[in-house]
Amino acid sequence: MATVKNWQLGRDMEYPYDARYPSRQFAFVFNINRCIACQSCTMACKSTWTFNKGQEHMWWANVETKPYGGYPKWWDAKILERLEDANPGGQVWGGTPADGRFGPYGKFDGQTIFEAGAKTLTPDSARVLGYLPTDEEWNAPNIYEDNPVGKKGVRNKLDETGEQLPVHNTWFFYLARICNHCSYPACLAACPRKAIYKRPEDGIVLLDQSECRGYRKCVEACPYKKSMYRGNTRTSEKCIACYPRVEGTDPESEGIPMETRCMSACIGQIRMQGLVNVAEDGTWAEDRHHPLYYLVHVAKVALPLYPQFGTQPNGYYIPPRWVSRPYLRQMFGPGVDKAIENYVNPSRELLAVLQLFRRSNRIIFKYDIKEGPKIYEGMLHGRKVELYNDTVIAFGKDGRELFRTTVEEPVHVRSNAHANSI
Amino acid sequence: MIALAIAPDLMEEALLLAEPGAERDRAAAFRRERNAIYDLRDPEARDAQFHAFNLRWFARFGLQTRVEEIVNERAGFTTRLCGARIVRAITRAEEGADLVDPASRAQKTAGPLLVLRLRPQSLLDRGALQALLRHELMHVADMLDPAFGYERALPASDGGPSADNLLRDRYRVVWDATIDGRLDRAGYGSPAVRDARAREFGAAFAMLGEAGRTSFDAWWNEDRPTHAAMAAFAAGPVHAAASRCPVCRFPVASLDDRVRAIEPPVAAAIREENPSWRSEQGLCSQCLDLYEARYGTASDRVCHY
Amino acid sequence: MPYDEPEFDDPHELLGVELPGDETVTYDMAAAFAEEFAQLGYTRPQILALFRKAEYAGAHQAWTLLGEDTIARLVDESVNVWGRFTCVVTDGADEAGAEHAQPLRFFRR
Repeated sequence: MATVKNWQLGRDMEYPYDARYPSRQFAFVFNINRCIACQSCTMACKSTWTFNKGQEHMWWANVETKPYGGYPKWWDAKILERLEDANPGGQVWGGTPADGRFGPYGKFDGQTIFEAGAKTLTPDSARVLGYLPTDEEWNAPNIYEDNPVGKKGVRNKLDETGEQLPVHNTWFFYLARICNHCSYPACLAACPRKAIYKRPEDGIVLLDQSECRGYRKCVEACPYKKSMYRGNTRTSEKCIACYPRVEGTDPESEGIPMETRCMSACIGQIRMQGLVNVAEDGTWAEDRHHPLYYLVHVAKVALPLYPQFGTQPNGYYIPPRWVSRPYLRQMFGPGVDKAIENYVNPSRELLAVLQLFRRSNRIIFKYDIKEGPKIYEGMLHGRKVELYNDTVIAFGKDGRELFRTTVEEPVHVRSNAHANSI
Repeated sequence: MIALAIAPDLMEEALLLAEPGAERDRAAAFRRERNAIYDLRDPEARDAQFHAFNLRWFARFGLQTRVEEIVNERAGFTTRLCGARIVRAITRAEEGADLVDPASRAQKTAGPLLVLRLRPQSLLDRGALQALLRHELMHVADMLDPAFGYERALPASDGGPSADNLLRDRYRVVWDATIDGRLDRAGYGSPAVRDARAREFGAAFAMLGEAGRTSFDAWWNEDRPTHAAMAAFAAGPVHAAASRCPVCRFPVASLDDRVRAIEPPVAAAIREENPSWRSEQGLCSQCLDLYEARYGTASDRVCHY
Repeated sequence: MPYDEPEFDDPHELLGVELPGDETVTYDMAAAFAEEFAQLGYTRPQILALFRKAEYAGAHQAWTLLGEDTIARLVDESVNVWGRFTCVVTDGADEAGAEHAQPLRFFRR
């Protein structure tokens, strides 16, 4: 085992290979507060990459209802349970959040899946603590959750009034997931054939189909369960981050880096994807006007999913503001309280950066804000809101302007008291 | 001996699951041989090779013999079948045995087809597989036995779908008790199975009270049960009890005993929402669980993973 | 889960266990949806339609639990702030050095 730096955990960590970092890293931010589980992302991915025979159970992109759902079923509960068994009572965070880019959430004092694996597994069986989901667990992307099924015994027909929907009389939220293209991928670490590699130019993790011999060690090792086995080709497959689009080699992209299909299809506009610069030590290089850098390291509103697993995932989430905090802290680490506070009381810059989500399918590499006058001040749901006529400009890879968003003159809003106001 | 046709996907998945547990040399040989097939470019030739490989190794890992031995313990009825097939089950609840009519007219005269549904992982644990298959095959033996008089449908009750479900569940509990009783006497039982069946029987026929124990013993020791007798027994107490939970008004098999030790704040909360309710009336387990979770001393527990 | 027999080895069978949550949480969720979609430029009827449709279970449950009036008030409050503004997105020029294209898409009314 080598020792590598994990900035999300604020400490060094054991990993089967030496650290090697790409020059840029594929990363994304999902704003959960906006997700209504329309599953457009899921279907965009399915219809692009996994519509073939043998891929029926495969959903590289999925949206699951938390805390009930999961694809595969109970994936996070199961791996958390295994970690807890390996290190009872020890899976906790300590330390103090650092100001810099290393350890912004404090220090994780527990064991990662690599460390727990080294301690609890025999050397031959695996290098990573994991498990192989059963057929049943792969069987549905969000089983029994929010699927407007028909009445019991009536096939191929949705319930017309929706009253057969399950009801949760408590908090819940929708968690959209794709492969996190981790900086320390568990799938890569576990593959006995070295068939999985991380691209030096963009950090996208790919699985070489010609090298795969179907050992399924990646399926077992990935804590997010985003590597999947295909029975008819007898090889494993995973999200490829729509790399032709990200490269700009997809015909539709006309040479300009483009966001993935799942991002582009998002009608709730919850998603932004980009490529961040990586420093020599594996942290994100200072890039003050990169929108993802801003959301993760400056505004600190976007947090990694289950950072304690130790793979340094590159998917970040703006946590849902209405959900139980202990649950969120477990899922996104101790940065949750600050993230929600900053999101609920957004700064002028954060409001401007949030305007960049889904205004274009091109990848944004930099933004700039031209400040304008204050145009509104008022209260909303008990909070003060100030709005400025700021213009936010998005730039692409070559520094050319992709688009600009401007808040224009106030428009008159008719009172809802009018009968014809609907 | 009956020929067993095992579904290719079941066979392959069982092999992949069996490999990590195999001895090192054998596992290495398995992988060497399997990996070489990936080099074949022609997809059809490749598939054919994988199939041949799976058949070979299914036998080599002893899985073929494992299943055949158990099925052939039932030599008595296998002659009445036109064949036997094992297919892949996705969930534990799907596992089991069934008889289906063969598709072709010519085969119909040769008797029904035995279909066993198993999850791949069930093939790996010899003990559990024996227990599962012996139990399921006893169901099949009963279904094929004219003296048992099996009929697919139980008589409809007049209590609606939930009463039908109760009836079916009780019928299953009785049948399972007679099967495991007979297996026990044949030397295949264990005290744990008997206890589990007794508990299940006690819960399904809670309205019988202490007499339930005697009834269970009678069914457990019954060597020649018939469909008609079991169906009648299962239906009998439904009408006798016909009880409903006084709180939610759903028909239930029995009310919950724990109501005797109900916590005062929980009882008070139930009375507040159901003013006519008295604790002597009891309530069903679901309602009790709900009110205890909301108003009991454990209700402030936060549940996350 | 709600459709079939309980599976006792299913860790998510919530028999007798409740997660913390009540109308306040649902209210917060509804407020978040109303505000987020008003920010996206959706109109009052569009946002209300989201709550009324059973397919969007989260929003719809809030509508069922809190009622049309409460939801309408939340939507009105949000639209009253975020609906005041027109947000104009202008695409950059296709060719380097070319003039800006005209505004192409309007997200807010």
